[in-house]
Amino acid sequence: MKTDECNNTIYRILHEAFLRNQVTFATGIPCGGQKVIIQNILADGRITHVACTKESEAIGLSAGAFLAGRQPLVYMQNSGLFGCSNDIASLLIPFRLSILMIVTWRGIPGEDAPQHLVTGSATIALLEALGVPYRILTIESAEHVVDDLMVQMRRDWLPGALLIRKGWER
Amino acid sequence: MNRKDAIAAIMSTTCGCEAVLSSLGLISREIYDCYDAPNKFYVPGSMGLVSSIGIGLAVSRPQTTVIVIDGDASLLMNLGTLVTAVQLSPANFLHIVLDNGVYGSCSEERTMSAKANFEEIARITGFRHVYLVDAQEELKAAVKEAIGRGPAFVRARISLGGRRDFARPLALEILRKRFMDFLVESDIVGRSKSQ
Repeated sequence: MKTDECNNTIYRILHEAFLRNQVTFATGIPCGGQKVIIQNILADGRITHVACTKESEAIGLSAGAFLAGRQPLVYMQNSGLFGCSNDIASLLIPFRLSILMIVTWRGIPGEDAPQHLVTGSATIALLEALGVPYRILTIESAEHVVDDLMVQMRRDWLPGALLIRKGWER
Repeated sequence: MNRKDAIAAIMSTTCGCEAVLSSLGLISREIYDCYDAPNKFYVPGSMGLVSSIGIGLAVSRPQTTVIVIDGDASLLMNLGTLVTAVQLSPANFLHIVLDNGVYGSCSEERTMSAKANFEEIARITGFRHVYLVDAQEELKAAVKEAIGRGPAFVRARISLGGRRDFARPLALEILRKRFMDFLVESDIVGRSKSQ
C-alpha cells in the first residue's frame, strides 16, 4: 500500500476504535501529526468537539465531561503532555478519571527540530513516573491498540496515552 | 464581606440542585467543612482548572446548572478559560470569582487582580451577564439573576480574614463517585417531576 492509503486506513481504524469505546467528547491542541485524526473527529456529529487554549485546559474540560458520564478524548503533542503533567497528576489520577489521551510523539530519533529532543527522550519516562498506562501505535497494533489501552484504563481507573510517533509511517 | 460571608451568600441563594465546583485552598476547604453535600465537587489540585472542569460539565449536561467558585489567582492562571466559556456559551454556566487580591491560602502574597479588570475582560470577551459585587446582598441578587442565563460571570470583591483551620477533602475518589451519583440522580428526580 502507498503511505497515504495505509495511513488513511489506520486513521479509519482508530476512529472506529474511539467510537467502539464510547468516545463522545473531544478537545485538545492540534499537532500536524494528528491532522486526519482531528479531521475525522470534527466531521463526526456523534462526538462533541470543544476548542481550548492549552493542554491543561483540555484536561480540565475533559474531566468535566467525564463527570457528566462521557468518555472524553484529548489530543495533543508530547510537548503539551509536559505542560499538563501536573493536571494529570493532581486531577485525573487522584480522582481516577479515565481520560484517553492521543499524543503525538515528537523528538524521536530522526527528528530535526531541536526543541523537541529533550521532551522526546523524556516522554516515556514521564508517563512511567506518573503511572499513566500507554501504548505506542504501530501498523501491526492499530486494530486493537485503543481497545487494549481502554481496557486497562477502565480496569485501573486511570488516564491513558496512545503515542503516535511523528513520522512513524516512514 | 469576607470569604465566609461570600460563600454563605452563594449557598443561601442556591437550592442544592446545582452542581457546585470550587477552587483549591481555603475556598474548597471552607465549603467542604461547612457545606459538604453530594452536589459539591472540590478541586484541591490542578490550580486554575476548576472553571475548565465546570465548562466541560456544563456543555455535557445542559440540564444541570453549573456554578464555579473560583479564586482570583486561580483565574489569573487560566484566563483563557473566559474565551472558552464564551466560545461554547453554555446558558447553564455561572463563573463566580472570590477576589481577595492575594494568595489567601498561602501567606497572602498579593496577586495582580487589582489591575486585571476581570469583569471588563468578561464583558469584552462576550459573557452574557457580568456583575461586580462588594456586599452579600449584591452577590445574592447577582447569583439569583444569573442562574440559567449564562455564560455569566460574577466578580465578588472580598476582604481578608476568616478561619483557616478547616478539614481538607481527602477521599477524592469517593467524593467524585458521590458527585457523579448526584448528577445521575438529579436526572431521575427531574424526570419524575416533569411527569
